[in-house]
Amino acid sequence: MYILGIDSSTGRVSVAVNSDQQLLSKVEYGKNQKFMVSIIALIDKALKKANISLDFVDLFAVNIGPGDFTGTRIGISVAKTLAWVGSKPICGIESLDVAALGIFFKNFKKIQKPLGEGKQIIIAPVLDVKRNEVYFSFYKMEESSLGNSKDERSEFKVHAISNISIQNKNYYLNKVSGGHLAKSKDFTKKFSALFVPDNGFSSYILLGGSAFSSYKHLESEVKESGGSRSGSHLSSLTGVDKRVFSPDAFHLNLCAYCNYLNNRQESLKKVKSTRQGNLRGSKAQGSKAQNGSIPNSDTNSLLADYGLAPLYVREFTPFKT
Amino acid sequence: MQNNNYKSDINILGIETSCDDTCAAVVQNGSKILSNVVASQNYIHEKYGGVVPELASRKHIEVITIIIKEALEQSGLKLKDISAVSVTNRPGLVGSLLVGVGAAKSISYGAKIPLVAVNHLKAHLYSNILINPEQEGGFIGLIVSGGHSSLYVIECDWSISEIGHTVDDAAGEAFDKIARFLNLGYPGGPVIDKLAREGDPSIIELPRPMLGSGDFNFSFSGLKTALIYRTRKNPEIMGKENIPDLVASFQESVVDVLVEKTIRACLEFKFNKILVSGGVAANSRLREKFGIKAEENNIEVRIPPIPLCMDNAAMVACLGYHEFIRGNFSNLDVDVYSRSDI
Repeated sequence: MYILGIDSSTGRVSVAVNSDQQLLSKVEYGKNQKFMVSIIALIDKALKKANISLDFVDLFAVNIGPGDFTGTRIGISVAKTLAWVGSKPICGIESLDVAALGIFFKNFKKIQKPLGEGKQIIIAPVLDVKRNEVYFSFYKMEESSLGNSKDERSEFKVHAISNISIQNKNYYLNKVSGGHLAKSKDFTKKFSALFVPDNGFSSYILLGGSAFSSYKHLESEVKESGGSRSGSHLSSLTGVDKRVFSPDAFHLNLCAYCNYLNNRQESLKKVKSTRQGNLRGSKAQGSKAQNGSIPNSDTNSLLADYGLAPLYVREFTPFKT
Repeated sequence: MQNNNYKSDINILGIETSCDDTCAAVVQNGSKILSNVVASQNYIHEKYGGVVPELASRKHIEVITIIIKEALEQSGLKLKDISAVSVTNRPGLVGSLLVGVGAAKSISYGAKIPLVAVNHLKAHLYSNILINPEQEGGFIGLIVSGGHSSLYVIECDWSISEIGHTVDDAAGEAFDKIARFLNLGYPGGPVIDKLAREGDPSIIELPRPMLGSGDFNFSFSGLKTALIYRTRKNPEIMGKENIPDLVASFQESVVDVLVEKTIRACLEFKFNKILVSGGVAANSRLREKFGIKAEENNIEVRIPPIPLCMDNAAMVACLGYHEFIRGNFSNLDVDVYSRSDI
């Protein structure tokens, strides 16, 4: 299964082609490049490098944010339309999921020790969403030996965002909470309040993401909070990855592949009911179109047609009313 | 203008997302509208009294593929029947333009058909060709909408040059702002148009800005201020029974200036035809007054039907057809521009 992923949510564009979990090609453009100018050329380059044509792509993946407003929009617009033109499914992945997977890959060696000690690994991507706010979430990592079971796929956990096989081991990354928004100065407080370890000191928390390079004070705050009474469980059990990294289309593709496998069974069952939903939706749209508006709910049910969740971005209030 | 080198029909898919309407259309051979779908976002922007760019872009993203699909379905064609995809890439709100251009590039790349990026203002003028493909001779063109109020000279070969523009607010913008000031709702144009029919424009006198300026520029910001100062002086004209008279005289002032200057340009450049387009061209008083003045001066005024005056993709497809015939294709690295000459 060939997957083409477009990630333009961070001020740079990354396009990757996967065959299942294996990376075939990846092309990236750095900052200061105009997205709109280069994006199709970049997709073309990635496909040529992977030695396939667009018609062979079975699944499109796109980062739906939260992230750079303009960049995310271009990525979604291009991916959605390419999927429509080729009548292929499309999968929208949140940037926190992609970041969590990125942190996992970058720190794979680092987590081997606590993992060997039987500790629960928690990965927490913390993204800088500007205006002095950070956006974060928790992911639990699970490990299982790559069994001899023929259908490894049936073992997928419901909330797993990804499954990675490294050296005869299967690693699942499970999303355990939704996204949380915090002011960068209140981050440690909110993080400690939200994060309650299962039992005492059995967890190893690994934090990472763009927020740590944007707000330098965060790292020391997280480390210091071990001394205070309120956040004692953060103490020495916490690792912080303050390296700058941006979401990677390869990780995006891994998430999309897992998402696809997870949903395949479910979506097959749903086909019947969704069709009815769509019919209702398009009917309503037809009548409303005369009044010149398309209501929200119908739009969303129609979007399901393309397998894309509605654009997920932080609540936006243009003016304080 | 038609070129018969092509044996089969040329079907152009047009996409237009320059402001707050998501539009897609399929036009055959530059004049036969097979479909023209418009998704208005007025219900989103009305509570703010104007277009909020970020909200507009987000809505475009949500509906773009649905609207393109709908346009294609209504046309009865398949994607393989489309000869080229035409899209507005300038001028407009950058965030909105990006969505349409992104979609158009993807269709061009995915379906392997040429891309034609066009100018929104030029497309407005071409909406007249859509109605009447046999357009010969020179014209004076007036584009009057929420974002533009400009006069153009259109030569016989359809080379276009600007002779005047608004120095501050566009006419449609002034309508919206006055409607917001008087709490009449959004968009202001249709509301004021309707209310003004019950009012008498001669009761309250407002200035006719820049009528004697000697050039072909417009200004509507001062008129807005004049109206606001007038209501401060005589608060009673803000009363419910006086509102129709107030908006009628505001509308009359805008219409007077637009019509007068356009006719004057037509006489000065020795043309005898005028093309009008843009959202404000839907205003009933403007259409009426153009009719009267045109007859007085023996000039022909062409205004397309209201749906084609507003932002739509049929005009984009029409212009796309003519650029296609001329071989003016765009590369897939084409960018978007918030401002652009015609």
